[in-house]
Amino acid sequence: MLSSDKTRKAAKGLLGLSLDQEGRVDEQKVRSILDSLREEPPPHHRSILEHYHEEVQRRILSYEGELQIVEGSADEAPQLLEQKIKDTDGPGSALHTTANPKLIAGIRLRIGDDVYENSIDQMLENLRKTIS
Amino acid sequence: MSSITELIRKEIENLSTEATKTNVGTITALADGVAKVEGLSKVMFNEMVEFPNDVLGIALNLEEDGVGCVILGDTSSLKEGDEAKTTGKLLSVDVGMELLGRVVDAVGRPIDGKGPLNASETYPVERIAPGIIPRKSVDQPLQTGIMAVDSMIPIGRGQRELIIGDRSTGKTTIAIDTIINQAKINKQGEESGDPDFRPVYCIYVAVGQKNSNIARTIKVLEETGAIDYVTIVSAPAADNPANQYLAPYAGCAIGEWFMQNGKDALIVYDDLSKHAVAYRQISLILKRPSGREAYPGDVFYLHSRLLERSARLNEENGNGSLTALPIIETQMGDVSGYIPTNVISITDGQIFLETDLFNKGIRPAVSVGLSVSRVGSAAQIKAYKKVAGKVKLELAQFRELAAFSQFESDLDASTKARLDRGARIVEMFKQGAYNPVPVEVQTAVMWAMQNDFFDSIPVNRISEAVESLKEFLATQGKEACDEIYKSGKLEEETEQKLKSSIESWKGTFA
Repeated sequence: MLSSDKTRKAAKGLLGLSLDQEGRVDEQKVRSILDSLREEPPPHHRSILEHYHEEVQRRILSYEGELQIVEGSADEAPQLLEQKIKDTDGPGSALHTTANPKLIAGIRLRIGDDVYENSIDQMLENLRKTIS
Repeated sequence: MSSITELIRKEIENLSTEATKTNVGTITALADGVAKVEGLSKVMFNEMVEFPNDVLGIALNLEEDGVGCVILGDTSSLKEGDEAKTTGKLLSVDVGMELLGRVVDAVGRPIDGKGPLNASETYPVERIAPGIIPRKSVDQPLQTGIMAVDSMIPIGRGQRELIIGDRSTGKTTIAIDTIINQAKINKQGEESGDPDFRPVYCIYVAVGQKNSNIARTIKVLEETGAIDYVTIVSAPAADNPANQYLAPYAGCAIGEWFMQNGKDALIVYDDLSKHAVAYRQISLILKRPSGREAYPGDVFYLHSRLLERSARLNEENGNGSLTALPIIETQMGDVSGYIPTNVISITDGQIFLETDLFNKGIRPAVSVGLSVSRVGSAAQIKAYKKVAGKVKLELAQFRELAAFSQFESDLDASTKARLDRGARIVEMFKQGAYNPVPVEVQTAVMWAMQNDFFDSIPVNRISEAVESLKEFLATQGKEACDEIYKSGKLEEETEQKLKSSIESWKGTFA
């Protein structure tokens, strides 16, 4: 049985083949890789695909931001933030907005490994750490 | 009630409302107290990483596709997929006078149930050792209270003296005796009101030891009243290897505070063999390449960077010092092992304890031939230097002659005299545990030996005679000892007083 390390390494190799010149994941390339794998399934096909999925997701997150907000918020900050990112990085840059009720109020923006947060949840967490 | 709510309200008001930036990653593998984290692209080497449930870790391996973090707490609450955050802080511990009399863990948290430390300063656990310019030569003695050590292998403030030997040969006892003696000297000095008196504060770092042994050590320090001058850093065998790896550095940071603030401190690392084993365990789990005896390539640097932090600073830098007594356990008396030779080469000398001597009842079982202090007599008071100058040579000659004389029936007078003197010196050096002797009393006893006062006493009664003389000097013969203590010299007048005291003692002993 292939070790987890080896399947992860294979998935990383596939990710390398899925990137365009700017280092972004190319949908066409991903499709052709999936077709090839389907036609000639390698040993541990499922495990490799799972790792490939994780790698691709992480890669996309490294250049596409994820904005977490509280559902139903009337705050216009998310729209302003999205516009600002588009102005800075060009129209191709994407910002996925998701709802996170745990925030209570405020936003949490993740771009790659960096997280910018200004939420009540974070303030309460800081308060808990100060008191304990 | 209102004061409590007010307290929390103030805390809320003080909270910053600005957005915070953190760098995060995801745990992809977790085993044996080590987490592999993907992400954390901006983490620094040795930076503290925060995991869920307030578990902390340290980034020790920065790789192309992830970070190897050593977890410092309970890993049972962590799982793959959990988020890890950078903190922007290097691991630091509380330092200061508030730590005296306390027992802390490897990351400086109190574990003695005496409440918070309330220390106002913190020092990073990893620091660069003082350079060449702020240092000065070791010239001030650090009395261990053990006659065999203070006379033949004197230790100075700022020195690194290794205590090495097999298991159960009295290594820890020598270290604890030294700590007890510092406490005695500190109390005496504080009572005297001497403005120039410099107390020595102690740090005892227990690495990979049984909890019962650590508890016993604490009890001894409490019973002797030494605990008020000691900080104990505990990373017992039950602790995870990361804590065992960090404990000596945390202890060193606590000691460095004393040194950097113009004070003198003594640190005991008990022991560095177990520290190396803990580091080997971490390195193997982190998949670092292993070398001799499966230790990683940087095991020398592990100890050299720790022990180099002990130094004597010059007057421009506060005149503080940090003396280190690392302990190494050998296997079957083999000092040529990997870790023993590494630490021997780093330190300024070693006290080698022999199993054979220990089993013969010669305790402390100091081997004269293999023990050395590279600072030498520069770290002895003048009076002691005068009486103890020749004793190491005499004892070494005795050991050599004793080996040959086993086959010889007819010995010449001079050989017989040397053997006789040697046997008496061996008996004189026998000393019970946790019973350090003040330097002035040691000087007086040694003077008596050098001036043939013990020659008429049978060898098997020398230990008894030495104990009796010590008691006499502490009471009736106090005057001469006080003069030695105050001046540090052995003037002709003092020698006369010493002579008359010892003569009157001999009358009572006979």
